[in-house]
Amino acid sequence: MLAKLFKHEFRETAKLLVPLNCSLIAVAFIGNVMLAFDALNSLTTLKSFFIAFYSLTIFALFILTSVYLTVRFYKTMYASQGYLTHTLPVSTASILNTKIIAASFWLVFAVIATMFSLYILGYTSINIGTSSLARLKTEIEAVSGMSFWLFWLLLAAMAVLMCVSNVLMVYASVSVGQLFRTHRIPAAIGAYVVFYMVQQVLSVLVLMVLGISQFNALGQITAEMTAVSFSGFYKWLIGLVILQAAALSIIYYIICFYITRKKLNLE
Amino acid sequence: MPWNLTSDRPIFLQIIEIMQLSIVSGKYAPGDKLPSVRELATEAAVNPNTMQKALQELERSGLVYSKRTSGRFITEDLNMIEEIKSTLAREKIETFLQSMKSLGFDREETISLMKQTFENMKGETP
Amino acid sequence: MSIILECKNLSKTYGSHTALNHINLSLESGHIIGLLGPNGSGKTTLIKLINGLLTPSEGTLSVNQAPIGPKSKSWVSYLPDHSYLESNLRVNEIIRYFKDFCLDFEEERAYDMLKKLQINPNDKLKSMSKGTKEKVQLILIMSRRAKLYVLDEPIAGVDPAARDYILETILSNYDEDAAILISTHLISDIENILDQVIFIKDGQIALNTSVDNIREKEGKSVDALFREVFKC
Repeated sequence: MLAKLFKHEFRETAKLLVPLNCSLIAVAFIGNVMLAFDALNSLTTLKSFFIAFYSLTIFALFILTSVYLTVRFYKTMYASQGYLTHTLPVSTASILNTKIIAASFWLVFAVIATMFSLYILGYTSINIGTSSLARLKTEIEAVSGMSFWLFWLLLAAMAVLMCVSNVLMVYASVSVGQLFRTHRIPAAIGAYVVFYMVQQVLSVLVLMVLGISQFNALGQITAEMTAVSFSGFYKWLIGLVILQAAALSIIYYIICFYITRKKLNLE
Repeated sequence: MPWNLTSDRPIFLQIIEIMQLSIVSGKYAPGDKLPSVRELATEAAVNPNTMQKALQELERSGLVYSKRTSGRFITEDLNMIEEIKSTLAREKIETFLQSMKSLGFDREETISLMKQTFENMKGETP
Repeated sequence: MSIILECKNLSKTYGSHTALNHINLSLESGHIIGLLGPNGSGKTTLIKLINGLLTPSEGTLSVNQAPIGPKSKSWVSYLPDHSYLESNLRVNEIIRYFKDFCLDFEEERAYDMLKKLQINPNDKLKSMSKGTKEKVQLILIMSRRAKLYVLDEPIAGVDPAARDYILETILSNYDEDAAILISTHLISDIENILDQVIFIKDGQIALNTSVDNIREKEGKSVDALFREVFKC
């Protein structure tokens, strides 16, 4: 049943999201062609216009993906289509997991599509030589204090977890919104604002409290603030972000689960 | 087309009457196989349990009989059909006479009025 | 005959408002049951509880001995009182969806009924009239071999011809092992196909009896009795 839920969720969401991601790639291709033809650097205006358009496309991709997934979650969980969703012979957890995994997938997918589009754009114009790549590698290793690949692995894990926790934060907001009898959408937006603020305050607090002790441990911040002495800090920062995203995800998941399971109240 | 049922009497009684009428009028001939309960219920737009109850009642009276495997059939006992036919006719006449009485016609007047009506209707209806 | 639905001491409150007040009820297979009551009497609350769209505040309910959950949902075929399918979908896409999730869904039966109504399975729901959409939803629901069918206001707002079609569809797909619970306020249109009625009033069961019983004992139709019980 879980596999079927996934199949349907992907089939439905792909209808809009695949073309959306493809259009970003298409824009990058056009840019690539344009840059290739413009070896003489004569199309400055056109180029700056393109860069603006390209940035706008990336922006639109993320906004549209997020809005679409949020609206879809609301419609299929708490509006009239919820009558179908919640009468399927599957557990609440399965439904919720499907929605969360699908949405996180599409966000990560959009990040990958963006990186891919950058790669396409840069493929001909910027030529990263092997020597500069090697230099990048040694620098990253020096600064972060971990191996090049571990650094990227942790960064990727962080990005994925942040996507998941963002999805869950939005879903938790929509879920809190449906606790109200009327004005559910404004209530959901309100819940989002509250979650966002609490989250910000918390992360600043955590950073402050832990940060001070960390800096103390390091000893001389101002005296010898070289890249090497900072290496511990990066490791620690990435770890902290991952931990925070994981903790928030769990909290938001519990909120979503509790509300769909116990407080469901369809119109 | 749903059957014409009134709202104040038990439906199964009305179904029995309609079925009796169908049998005596020849819509169902003696020995004919009846449609299934579900088909009849759908045709009449009534609950299948109600149809079942009516058919069981008809079975009890002997107008319908069932073979275990092949369904329900109309009785082949022509005397019985005749008997029911005359009972139904008598009931109709009684109701008619009752209403004539309430209109203020006595026996003789009713009979002569009937004769007169028959004369007028000649050729129109049998 | 087996018990398909059982409610024990079932209550649902919203804040200070009591929608259902300690209801005890059991429905047996082989019956078509009318759930009758004015707006706000608790009909919809009961239906939502049966379908797991609400959780009880007190008491329990079970479908075919199973508590409300994935298992019970696999036995209940539910027609909500409004359009609840994504209107962008084609009929055959929805059929595929139903077939995937409802193992008791009989695809052929659905296509058969659609064909009789000359509805093109490639049409999108949003291109259909209200009456056609209602018929499509009913066809989907009645194409299942469920143990309990819950139809919420199946004939509200449709023309008499569509109403006849709906009643006929319910009757011709009816199965003695199942129970059908129909909620409506259009009693006279539907009372001939019922054999049991439940009157629900202010969150409590005011009457639970057979239709024949009402006609025999009271000498009046369910509709007339309803008007009497719920007289304003």
